[in-house]
Amino acid sequence: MEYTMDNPILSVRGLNIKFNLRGRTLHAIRDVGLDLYKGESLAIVGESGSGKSVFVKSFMGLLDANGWVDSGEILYNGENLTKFTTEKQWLTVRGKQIAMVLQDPMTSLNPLKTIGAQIMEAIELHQGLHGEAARKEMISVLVDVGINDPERRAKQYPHEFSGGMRQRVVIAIAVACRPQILICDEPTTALDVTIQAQILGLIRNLKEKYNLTTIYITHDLGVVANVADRIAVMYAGDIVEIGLCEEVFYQPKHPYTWALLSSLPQLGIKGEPLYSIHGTPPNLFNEVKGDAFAPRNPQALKIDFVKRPPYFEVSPTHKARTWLLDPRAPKIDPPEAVRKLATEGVKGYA
Amino acid sequence: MPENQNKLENKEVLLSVKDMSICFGKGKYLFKAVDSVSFDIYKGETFGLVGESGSGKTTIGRAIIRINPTTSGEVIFKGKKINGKIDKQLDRDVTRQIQMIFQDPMASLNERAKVDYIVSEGLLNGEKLPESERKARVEKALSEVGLLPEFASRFPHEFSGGQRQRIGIARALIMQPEFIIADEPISALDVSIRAQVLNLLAELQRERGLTYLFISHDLSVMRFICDRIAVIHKGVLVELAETEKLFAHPLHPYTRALLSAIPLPDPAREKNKVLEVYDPTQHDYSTDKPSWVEIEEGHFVWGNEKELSKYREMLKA
Ligand SMILES: Nc1ncnc2c1ncn2[C@@H]1O[C@H](COP(=O)(O)OP(=O)(O)O)[C@@H](O)[C@H]1O
Ligand SMILES: Nc1ncnc2c1ncn2[C@@H]1O[C@H](COP(=O)(O)OP(=O)(O)O)[C@@H](O)[C@H]1O
Ligand SMILES: [Mg+2]
Ligand SMILES: [Mg+2]
Repeated sequence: MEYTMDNPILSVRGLNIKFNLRGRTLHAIRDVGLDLYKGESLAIVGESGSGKSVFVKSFMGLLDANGWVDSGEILYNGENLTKFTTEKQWLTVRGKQIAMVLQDPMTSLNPLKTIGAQIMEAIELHQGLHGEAARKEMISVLVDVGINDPERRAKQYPHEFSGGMRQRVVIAIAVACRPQILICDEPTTALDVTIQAQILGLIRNLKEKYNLTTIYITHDLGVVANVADRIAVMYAGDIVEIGLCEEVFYQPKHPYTWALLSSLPQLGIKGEPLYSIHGTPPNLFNEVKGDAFAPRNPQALKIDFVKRPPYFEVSPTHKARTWLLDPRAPKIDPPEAVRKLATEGVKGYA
Repeated sequence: MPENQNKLENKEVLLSVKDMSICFGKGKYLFKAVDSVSFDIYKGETFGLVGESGSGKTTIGRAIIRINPTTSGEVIFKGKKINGKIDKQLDRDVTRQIQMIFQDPMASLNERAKVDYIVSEGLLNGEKLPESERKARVEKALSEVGLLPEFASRFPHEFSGGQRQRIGIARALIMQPEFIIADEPISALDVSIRAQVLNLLAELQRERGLTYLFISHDLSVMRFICDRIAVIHKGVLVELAETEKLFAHPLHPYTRALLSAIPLPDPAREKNKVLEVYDPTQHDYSTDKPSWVEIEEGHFVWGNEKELSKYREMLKA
């Protein structure tokens, strides 16, 4: 489905999420905004701990008990989800409107029930079908997710499926709820590349067939290039850059995006050291000052350590939070590897 | 790649695996995890072993360091057979000279032991060292992997994933090995940390002429660091070639499927790629039996006569 950028299906405004851990407060999502457009495929990329999962879990009321939305809004269908106080309210959204596929399919499946029964439950609950009609729908969903011999497979239990097949079952349950938004949180990280490629293709087909809007979370830039219409780059609880897939790969502006791209082995030169990012991400128990990436950025400006940069617009579809885009900033070119990606691309295979 | 060329020209075989099979279980439950694999690893090279999970990669690594018994075949290290029954002295030598580093640095390190003990554990099995010497060696190993000497008195959980992997590497280095089996050493690490560990491994190789068997399922990383790559599918080696050769002229359909599936961080390429799907039933080995053949210099493939003649055509094209 084509999407246009004037029709957000979900809008996040000034979101702050905090966790309480042994009396200390961790600021996991730091004043983040996002418009998700109907029909698009948005990829969220960032290293572990950057806040990808926490961010999307907050759309479904799934934050751990020690976490809370401190301020901000999550607008969906004219409602501010952050104002929900009861499970009953969340159940009108969770699964029904926004469904999620996680890295480990076993966390979403009941080991004691056949997969047919589990898909039927979702169909009965969300599509209001029952009996034979529900069963027929269940079989057709299994076919949709590429499970052969669905009549027989429906009677089997999760442990009788391989990792890749289990992930297909989880996806079947998610789409059986007929959601508007499908969130995939690292769904292929634990799978082999050939299986991963098939699951990515499957998600793409289902997106078309069911008019889904998808959010795809991953740390693998190869997967991002495959799935994304748009990319949001997260670092230390913030979206530091967001733009069309091509803009972020070929004209990245934030030094963190530069660093991520530069450390790709596909852009390295054999026999020479691979670009590596020094240090570690900031400790989110402490208040982050300035640009969170500054301490790891060898070319950081003085102001990066003092003041948090606002978003600067690069194009109507592309913006980044970096002082480098301020008209007063010195001109700093992206690293060699990043320029090479834009001009030559990466090597494929024959 | 002049450097790579050089390495492979003066090739001296360090490790040779010949027709090795490894079975688990017995009777009705007999399962052949590794099926007649053969390959040589040259001194100073990085030899990659790639395949999906469960294909037998770790089992091969563990057989080389003598944890898994072999069912048949030979493992020859520096000219001596090291699988099966071997004498005490050779066992001690091999135990020191071949080291392994593992994927999950957390699971592979003893949680309750201090870094000091973890790093020097391998030394305890050899001749007894004076305490001061042992401590000095631990400090040296830690500094070689970029960790501070005072880390010796800490516990693994106090470290990040990348640091734990460095501890795992220090633990191997302290033995002054010649050959290191790195089993998915960076798979559990974040992208930015991966580069650091890869660089460390490369630097150690340059400085000490180490030889690596690098086990992974990530072909992008392997293309960057391996001199040669062997592809394994369900316990059977299906192809082996110099890295760029393999990418330029993949022959076996499984290799082709694997290469076509690698996600490329380049939207122009990735969004237009054509996936090749591997269907194992395409091989008809009922009468025309397959074998492991060097189809051109240094390029091995598993196939029967009919397939091999097709592969020869592919190479000519
Ligand atoms: N229940 C929790 N209690 C305390 N901190 C948490 C909790 N859940 C997540 N965090 C912290 O929030 C940050 C973001 O985590 P997460 O969203 O899981 O990262 P990602 O998905 O990008 O790897 C991390 O620093 C993580 O440690
Ligand atoms: N000790 C063991 N007992 C029985 N089966 C085993 C044992 N070790 C490995 N296997 C089996 O051998 C096969 C190959 O495993 P492994 O070498 O770990 O694969 P890889 O490292 O390629 O993922 C798998 O099917 C695995 O279940
Ligand atoms: Mg996560
Ligand atoms: Mg393994």
